[in-house]
Amino acid sequence: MKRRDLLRGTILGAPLAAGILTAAPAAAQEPRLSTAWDLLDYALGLKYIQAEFYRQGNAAALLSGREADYLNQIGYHKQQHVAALTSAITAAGGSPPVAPGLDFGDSFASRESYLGTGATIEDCVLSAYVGMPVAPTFNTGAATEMSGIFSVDSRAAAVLNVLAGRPIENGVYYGGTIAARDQGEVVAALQPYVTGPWSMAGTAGVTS
Amino acid sequence: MVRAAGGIPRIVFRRELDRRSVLRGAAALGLAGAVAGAYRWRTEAWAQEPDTTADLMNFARTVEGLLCKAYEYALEKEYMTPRDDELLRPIMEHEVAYVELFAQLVEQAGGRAVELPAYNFTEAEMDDRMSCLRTLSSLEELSIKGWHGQIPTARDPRLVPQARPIVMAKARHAAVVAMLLEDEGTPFPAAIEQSITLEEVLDGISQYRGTA
Repeated sequence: MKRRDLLRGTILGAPLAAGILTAAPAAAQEPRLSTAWDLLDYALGLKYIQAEFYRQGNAAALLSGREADYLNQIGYHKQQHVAALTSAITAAGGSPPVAPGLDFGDSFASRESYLGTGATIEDCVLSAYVGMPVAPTFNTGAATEMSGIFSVDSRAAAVLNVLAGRPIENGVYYGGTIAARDQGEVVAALQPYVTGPWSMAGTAGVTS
Repeated sequence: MVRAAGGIPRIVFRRELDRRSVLRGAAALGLAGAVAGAYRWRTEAWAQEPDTTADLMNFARTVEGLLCKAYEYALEKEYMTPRDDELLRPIMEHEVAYVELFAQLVEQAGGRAVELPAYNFTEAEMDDRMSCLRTLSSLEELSIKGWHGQIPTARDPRLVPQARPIVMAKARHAAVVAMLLEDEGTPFPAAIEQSITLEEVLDGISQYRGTA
């Protein structure tokens, strides 16, 4: 990533930082996803997985032409999302969770497996966002920015589903609305790719 | 089909956001011109005196109605390909469902779902496949940016579960239309979705206002 893009990521993270500055730090025994800190931790945990997935997948050079352009852009955006969320947590005085170890198995064995796994991960992340509780401690700029990050994920999900040749209505468009998944369902779906301590599974997390 | 899972709770914004306070407070949000503009656009959609939530839901319904008509118009044209039809017809069906869903939300917000205004698509804007796709793409982008522009005005958390799935689905629509534009299209215009004001949305859609 170029330096100016990293700086841009910092700027993009500013509204999020302003949002969590109004949030009370998470108490030790609070339920999951009850504070803005929890949501940022959760969002960043998802973004770590996506960013690393596309980093490895694009490095495998399985695609060409417009497909490669699309996937490179998707991967680049995930890096920017990681930078924005990391910056927001840090600027608000928190410590971002450590990225988990990841192993995507045979996902990069072929074009089809790369696109198929990518579509599955994108759909899962999108369902996670739709299932996130509303954080009353987010300011409006932060809420808009979180929505903006996941809306771009939704675009990626559609493109990947088209490229992967998935059904139109229930694949590309997910039925015209996006089903919510709670954190437990999301963790269960993504756990096969995680090889070590993971904030989303409660084994590492944001500190504030 | 689009479904409203588990029923639709009544949606309200902050109590203080009644119509008068919106007109006062809108200046701070950059919405004053938009609200006034909406009322200047004296189609049936803006002729009533709704509360603010109903007003915004009617506004969203109007934009989705425009998109619905645009897809209908495009899909009747012989220059659209079978692949276009395969990918765009489901979007049109979703738009029909959104229009109906917003009608319910207007009523649950205490307002009246008004008749949609007439729209007009001149041949100059949609006279071949690529111009059709360009118009559809620009309307989708306008709609999404408008949605994101309105998120800061929502204070009732019950609105968010309603809005999120639709906003996310609309982003998928926009990306697919952009894909159909191939070299001209931009499925991912920004790393983080941009937002615009109501006024900008109104400016963007006013050219399609038709006469009933």
